[in-house]
Order: sequence, then C-alpha cells, then structure tokens
Amino acid sequence: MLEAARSTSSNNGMRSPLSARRPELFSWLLALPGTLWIVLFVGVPLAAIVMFSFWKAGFSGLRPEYNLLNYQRMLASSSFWSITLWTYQVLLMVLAGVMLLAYPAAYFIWRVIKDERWRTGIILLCIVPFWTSYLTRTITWLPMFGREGVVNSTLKGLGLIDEPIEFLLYTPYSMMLALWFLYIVFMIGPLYYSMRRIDEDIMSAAAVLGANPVRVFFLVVLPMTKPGLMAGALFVMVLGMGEFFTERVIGGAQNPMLAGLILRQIDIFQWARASALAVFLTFITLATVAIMLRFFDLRKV
Amino acid sequence: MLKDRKPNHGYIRRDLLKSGIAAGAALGVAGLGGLTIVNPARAADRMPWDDLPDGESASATGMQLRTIGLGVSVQDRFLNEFQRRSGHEAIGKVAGLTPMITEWLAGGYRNYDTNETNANRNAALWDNGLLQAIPVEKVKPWAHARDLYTSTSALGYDAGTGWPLAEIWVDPSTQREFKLVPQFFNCDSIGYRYDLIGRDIDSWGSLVDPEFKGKVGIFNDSLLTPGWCAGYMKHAGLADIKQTGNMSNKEVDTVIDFLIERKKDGQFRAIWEDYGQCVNLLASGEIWLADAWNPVVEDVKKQDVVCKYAFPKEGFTAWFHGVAVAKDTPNFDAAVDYVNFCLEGWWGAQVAPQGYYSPTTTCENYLKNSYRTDPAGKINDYDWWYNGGASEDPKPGWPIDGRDTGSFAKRWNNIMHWMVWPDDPDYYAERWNDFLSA
Repeated sequence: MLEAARSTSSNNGMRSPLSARRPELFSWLLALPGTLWIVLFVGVPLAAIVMFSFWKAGFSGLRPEYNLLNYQRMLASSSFWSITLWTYQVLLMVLAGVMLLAYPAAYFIWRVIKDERWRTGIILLCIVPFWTSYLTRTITWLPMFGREGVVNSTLKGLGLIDEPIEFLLYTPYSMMLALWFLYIVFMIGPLYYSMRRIDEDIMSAAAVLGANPVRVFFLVVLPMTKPGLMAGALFVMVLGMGEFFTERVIGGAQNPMLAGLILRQIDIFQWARASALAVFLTFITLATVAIMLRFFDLRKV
Repeated sequence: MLKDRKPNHGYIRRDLLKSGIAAGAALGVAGLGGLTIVNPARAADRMPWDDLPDGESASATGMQLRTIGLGVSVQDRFLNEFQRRSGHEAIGKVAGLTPMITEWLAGGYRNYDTNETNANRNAALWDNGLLQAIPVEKVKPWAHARDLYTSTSALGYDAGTGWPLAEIWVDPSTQREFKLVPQFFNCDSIGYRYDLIGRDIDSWGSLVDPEFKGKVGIFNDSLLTPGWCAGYMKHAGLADIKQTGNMSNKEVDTVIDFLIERKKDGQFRAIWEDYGQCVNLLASGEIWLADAWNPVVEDVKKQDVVCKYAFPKEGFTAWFHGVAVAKDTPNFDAAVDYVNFCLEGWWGAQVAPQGYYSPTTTCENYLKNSYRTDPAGKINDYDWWYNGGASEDPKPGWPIDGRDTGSFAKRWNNIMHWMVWPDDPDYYAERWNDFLSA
C-alpha cells in the first residue's frame, strides 16, 4: 500500500515533491507504533525460538551450541509424523463437526427467529460461555463425563446402565466433543452474518422461477454463505493448531497433537527440540492458511 | 510436646517484631504486646535452632535465610517456626517442579542461601559448582542420624550405586563433609482403591496387568515411571536389567517399548502430572490404582475413601530429600542454622503424618508424646508412623490397622532401588516422550 502511494505521488507531476513527501512520512509515523509492537512482541520472540531450535538442551539447561540435530531427530521420528497426521485428522473432524452443528443453528437464527431482540439474545447465549476462561470451559467436562460424573450417574439412576460408560472421558471421543463445543461459536458467528447479507429477494426469485426449497438451499443459500464458512474454518484451523489443553485434560494426555508435543518437550527440559517443533508448527499453520486462502479470498467476506 | 501452630500466626508476629523490637530493646522491656523476646543472657546457652516456649521469640539477628524448594518442604509453618526460634528473617521461594529449580539455579539465579531438593537432582548443581560443602561437625543433630545415612551395612543401602551415601557425602568413606544434608525421606509404591478392587495389591505389575485395563493412572515422569516398570520386568523375568534405577540405553528401550505396548492396549486411564490431580483421580474412582505417593494415599483416606498403600514384592522405590547450601551465600551461619533446624526433631515430627521419615531420630522427642493419629488415642504418633501402629481399627470397618505397609524396618528391608540420577537422563527423557506420544 505504501509502495502504491509512493508511486502515484511520484508519477503525479502536478504535486510538488515536498507536499508529496509529507503524507508519506506521516503514514510511516502512523505505522510506527504498530510495527514496533509487532517487532518487539512477535518478531523478537519468534526469532529467539528459531535461534533456540538450533541450540542444544537437556536436564543441564539450554546451551548455545549450534547444530541441526533437533530438526534431524524431529523429521526422522515416526511418532512425530503420526502426530502431525493425527493433528490434521482431529482438526478436520473438528471442522466437519463444527460446520454440521453450526450451520443449522445459524440457519435457525436467521430464518426461523424473526424478532431481532430474540436473535440478539440467542447470539448472546452462544457467546456468554466465552466470558469464562478457556481452561474453565474445558475442565467443566470432567465432572460431567467422569466415571461418577453427571452423565453416568443420571443414566445409572434411570436404570439404563449398570456400569459407568468409560469412553466418555480420557478418550479421543471426549476430546472431540469438548473441541466442538469450544470452537462452535467461531463458526456460528461468521455464518450467521454471511446469511444476513443474503438478499431475501434472490431466494424469492429462485422460488418463483420454480426451484424447490432444497434447490434454493443448495444452489443459492449455500454458495452465498461460503464466505462465512471459510472465515469460520480459518478460525477453527488456526486456533486448533495451537490446541494442547483439551487433549491433556479431557483426552487423558494419551493422544497428543503437535502443540501438546511441544509442551511435552518442555516438561522434560528439551527446550531446543520444543523450539524446533514450534518452528515447524508455525510453518505448517501458515501453509494451511495459505492453502485455504487459495480456495477462497477472505477479503470478499 | 507437639504443638499445633496456626498458619500465618508468624506473619503477625514478624510484623510486630519488626516494628516493636527497636522500641522494646530501648525500653528494656521483655514483654511486648503479649510476646516475649528471649533476653541475650538466656539465649547464650541455647542453639539458634533449639525449641522455645510458646509465645517466645528470638530477637532478630538482621540475617536472612532465603530458601528455595518445592511446596512439600518450603512452607510457611516451617519458615515461621525457624524465624521464631532463630531470629533470622526466613524467606521461602517455592517452585512447582524440581527440574524448574535446577533450571533457575543453573541459569544463574543466585538469590538463595539454601536449596531444598530431591537428592537425585542435586548432582547437576553440585557438579556445576553452585553449592558448598558443610562440615559434619556444624550439623549438631547428626549425632542422632539413622544408620541408613552413615553405614554401608544399613537396611536399604544399595551397594550397586552406593546410595544414599554417595549423594550425601563429599567422600562417603570418611563422612567429614556434606554435599547434601538429608532432610526427609520415604519409599514409594502403589496407591489403590481397596474398596473397588476388593483385595490387596502386592506387585508393581498390577499397574500393567490387563486385569486393570483402563483403570490405571501413571506418573508423567521420565525417570521414575520407567524405573518401577523395570523393577517389575526384572522380577517377573521379562527383561534382563542390571540396575533398575540406572539403566543402559538398551534397557530403557526394552522398558519403554513394553510401556508403549501396554498404552496402546488401553491400559492407562490417565497420566497424572501433579499431586492434587492424583488425589482427585483416586478419590473419585476415575482410576483404581496408580504409582501414587504415600501422602496421596493419606489424603485420599481423609476423604473417607478406603485407599491403601501397597507392599510390593519387587520392593519400594526409595528417595531422600535434602538441604544444600549455596556457594556464594552471604548468610552462611543462617543457612547452617536452618539445616540444623530441619534435623532438630520438630521438623521431622511435622512431616511424619504425611508418611515421611526423618534422617535423625530426634523427632521421637516430639512424636512419642503426641497422640494425634490413632483414632482410639492409645498409640502415640511415633509408634504409629515409625513402628507401624496396629491399633484396633483406624476407623470402624477399615481394613487397615495402623500405618499402611508397616514399620520402618519392614519397609526398608524391601527396597527395589533408590531414585538415582541416571548416567544418561536425556535418553530416558527422549524415550519417555515416545511413550507419551505413542
């Protein structure tokens, strides 16, 4: 943008060079605090992590002895690759689940609820749980799903089961459920707002031209809510890439994802290898976002 | 006599002391706002760590004692009592995990006088020259040390590694200088829900036994968990392992591969990471058995849950916790007073109800006159915690009469290995990570 501004001003012979330089300087100054903040609090730590990833670490501490061992070990480890695969598997399942759960919900708010106050109220209800911390929302599943938890004791009380259902906690299933609930609001919001932008006349027009409601949905509504789905998907993927706590607390710490693997390296004081993993995670997160953006330009939302 | 001291009591006293001492000294008044300050004449014939009558406090020395350690030993109740007795201002810094302290100190943290640590982490600090030796004659209560810490023929001595003597002494054969002064110690086994299992557990193998599939919790620790598993495998003839506490890389591979296989079968319900979590998992019945620590079991029992501590046929895993003095401390005298205080007896008596033992026998003076554990009030605390108790019932209907797993001698006659610092801890860590990720 700055490049563009400079080229137009220099190509424009009507303006004096002095007046052209002043807005340029001003816009640089405007960008300065933000740039400084990003350099200090994002650039420097990131550079430090990249640097540490080439150091050595162990129980005796982190030592600046440059080597490629951390990366070699990481890339040669089969468990690392299976964890990377598992991370994507989980995220795709989270994404699918969240989309399937969020779409009817958003559609319901848009088409069925007509009163604007009710709409706001229901959207607010979706957001309220997010006023508590991420940790609290995750830990809440423990008393819910435990062997002696709410679900098991209710089912037992109703005489439906004799033995507690054990897959409810510390399994990939429980982890998935917790993740759906964690991320669903990031999908409902963008979806609902993209639905609201649909001109109802277009739908009437489709109906008048003979399309049944199913065709209207698949040929008109769905394509027009793609921006919302895409925005929600980006939220879920980027947040999910950093997911470490749910897996640990609800998944029983037995099926780590990449971010959890970083934590496990830190637990055993392998700072250097944790850094190499962090660099890798940053890289594939950016790559994932880039690929998603190739399919859809978010700026159109 | 064992006195109950309310937490934070000492904070108030400390503030009073700070504001009142100068005025009190100037006026020559001994009693000040209900508290007595020991006068210098009487203080002369007592050691700074000796007990004081209730309500009395030593006058401030102007010296500080800054100690660093885990919450298990660095606690207000201990620091307040030390300050009351010695007059040194006691400041504690608490870390969440032992390795964290190692990181701090190795990373250049110097604002401490004493470091309280599990012995297996001390070598890293000693070898880096961060600590100083303490002459044995400066530690007065050591005259009453248990032979476990002085003799190679004591119950529990491990000839293979030389532990515990090897980590205590600069030279174990002469025993003139401490590297690390033992503070408290115990041996670990398995905590289990007797009410759910219905019988006694007597082997580490139960933790990997398919009978308890999905009901086991194990500790997220790259050294301790492979350690007990190795002990089980060796005893059961599943693997040929020389020293289960200090394995070769190949032996570590064997043990971890076995654990990975068990994990993939769904053996482990949860991998516990801190003390409170283990208590909750056991108390709620989420897990039925775990490589739990003695105090975990005592805490679960306090919730009226019938939990027991196993007597494993492979043996217990032994450890000790000690105090070391920083090399550059400006408060050497206060540091030595603190070391003495920890062994004087009061400290050891305080931790006995958590199942911990004191390296000196001086705690008897306090425990033998106290009857706080036996519900019937007949057996004194020393007989309960050191001799195994054997009261009628700790509670009506409970399957435990006295201390779980019996007397000091019975336990220490059954040691699998000491939790030593292995030759290649990084390899343990690397393979443990494979286990966690499998």
